[in-house]
Amino acid sequence: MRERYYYIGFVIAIAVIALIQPFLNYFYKILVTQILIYSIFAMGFNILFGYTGELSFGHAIFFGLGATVVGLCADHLSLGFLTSIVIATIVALGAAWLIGFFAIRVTGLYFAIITIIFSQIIYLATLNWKWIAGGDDGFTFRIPSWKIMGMTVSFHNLQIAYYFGLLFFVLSFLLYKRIIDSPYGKVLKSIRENEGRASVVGYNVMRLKLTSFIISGGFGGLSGALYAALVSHYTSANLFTIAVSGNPVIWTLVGGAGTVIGPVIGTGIMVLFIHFISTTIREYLMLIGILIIVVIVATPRGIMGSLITYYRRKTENEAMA
Amino acid sequence: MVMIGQIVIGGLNGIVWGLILALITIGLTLILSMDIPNVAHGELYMIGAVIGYFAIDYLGFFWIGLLIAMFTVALIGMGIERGVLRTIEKDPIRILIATFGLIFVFQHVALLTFGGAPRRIDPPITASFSIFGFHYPLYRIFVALISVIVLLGLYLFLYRTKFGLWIRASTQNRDMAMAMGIPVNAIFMWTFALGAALASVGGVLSSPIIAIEYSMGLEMTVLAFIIVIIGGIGSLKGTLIGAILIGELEGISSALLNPTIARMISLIVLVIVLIARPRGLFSK
Repeated sequence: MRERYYYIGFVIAIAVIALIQPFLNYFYKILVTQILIYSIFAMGFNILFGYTGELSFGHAIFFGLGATVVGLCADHLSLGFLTSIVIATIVALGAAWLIGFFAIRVTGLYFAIITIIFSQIIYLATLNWKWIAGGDDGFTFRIPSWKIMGMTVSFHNLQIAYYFGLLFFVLSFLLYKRIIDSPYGKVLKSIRENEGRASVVGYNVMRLKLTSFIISGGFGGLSGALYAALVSHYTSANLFTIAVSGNPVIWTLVGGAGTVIGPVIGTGIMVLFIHFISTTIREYLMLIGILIIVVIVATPRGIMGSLITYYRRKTENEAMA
Repeated sequence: MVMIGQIVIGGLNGIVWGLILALITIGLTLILSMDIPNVAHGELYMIGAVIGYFAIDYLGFFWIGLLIAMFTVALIGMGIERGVLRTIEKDPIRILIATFGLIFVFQHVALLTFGGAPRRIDPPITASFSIFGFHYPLYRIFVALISVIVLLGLYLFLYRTKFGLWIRASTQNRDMAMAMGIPVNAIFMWTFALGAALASVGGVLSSPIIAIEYSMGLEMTVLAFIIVIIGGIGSLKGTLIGAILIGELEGISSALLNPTIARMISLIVLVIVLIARPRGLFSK
């Protein structure tokens, strides 16, 4: 019953986002597209952090790789939109597999630290080796348009980008929900709750953590690819910085790690928040740092987590009375 | 001949850099042994160098500036331990995220006060001697000596004093140490301050050699964790040897190739160690 309400709510939300497009001005169209695409990043991060209980401070690697591969595909090979995105996602999955393969060898939180080491060194490489992503300056590119029945679909058109962003958001969300509700997702949750017990029951915890990291990296790569192909048409070494790695962390924390819709809500709130404060406060990243600390100290469950706890407590109290 | 000279100079630089790295990473190992995965450790090094820069700029005395930076960063460390980390103790994943947040705070505080351009501190010793036809600054040899003295002092402190014994006991088994009447909470605060002070000493000592930049903290965090993981988490001996090894490796490969490739080589060494000995070279 609850599940049905859930899907009705989801369909209404998507319909609203699809229908308000003509009424939004230029900046809000970009903002909504960004939120939709970034949400994919946050959802992927949530599979790793919220559901498996593993942290990564190096997700910029996958986001940056996704964007850079799309850029290189469009610039050097003139590949189409879908081909570039598929290639970018596959490259991100491969990178996640490679990094995860090494990182999984250390125990506990050092996994997250290995991801920082990799992401910083990859950032250094992209900064100094300009053939990868154009260094600090980056490079712009054009995605070739589609020609269907005499019509031209240009990915540089904001309305087209908006609806493609929405389409990929819906597809990613359904995949994400499917992963979480699957038996696989339940095993991931058991690792988060009690790693030792999951291992004793007979699950290969290392391999499950690795696959969770790979899936999460794939979402990150897809998000980066879409961001480059639909919104920025630009890539640079700056997509590999720690600030980009920090994004999904704060989005997921604010929305609520380990809740289905939390990361999406967190992304929406934080992107809008940053949009409004960055026009007045130049060093908004410092605020992000403070916010990360405040959220982790005060409300580690985030918005959705707190709401769910509140709702459960209320129903329990009602049941008692 | 030029090649050999380059290697010798690279090797000398490597020893100096390795000893500075040892100061910083042993500070990190002390903090890690309290189950605080402090990814903002490099930021303490950076903020130490920045405070040192301002103090030396204002006072004109290098050594007084070094002391000021050391005590200020130790205080900042205490503040972090008391204000942030103590409130979420026994939850390492939250501590990790909180220290991750600290990276942004420190970086941007430095960016606001110090600016984005790299700057250097003038070395207090400007003499140099010649070796293989290269002029080598005497200051670097002096830095190596100071690092050795500090490391020896730290060894004597940890292994020959009551306070050092308390630190080792509290980090080894917290509950047992508490039961024996050791003031574990105070010890943790002081240990964090000690680790932070070591990082800042490394920062000030290295700033006449490499320029101070707001982003150098993160690079140091990366290097420090590479060293800690290579040496074996929690092993002071492993950290020391790992620091010299990585310092030497980066010194020689930067001299012959370039710094980006040098860092890549460190990463490759880390990867090899992860495959061959995931618990580090000197794990217990």
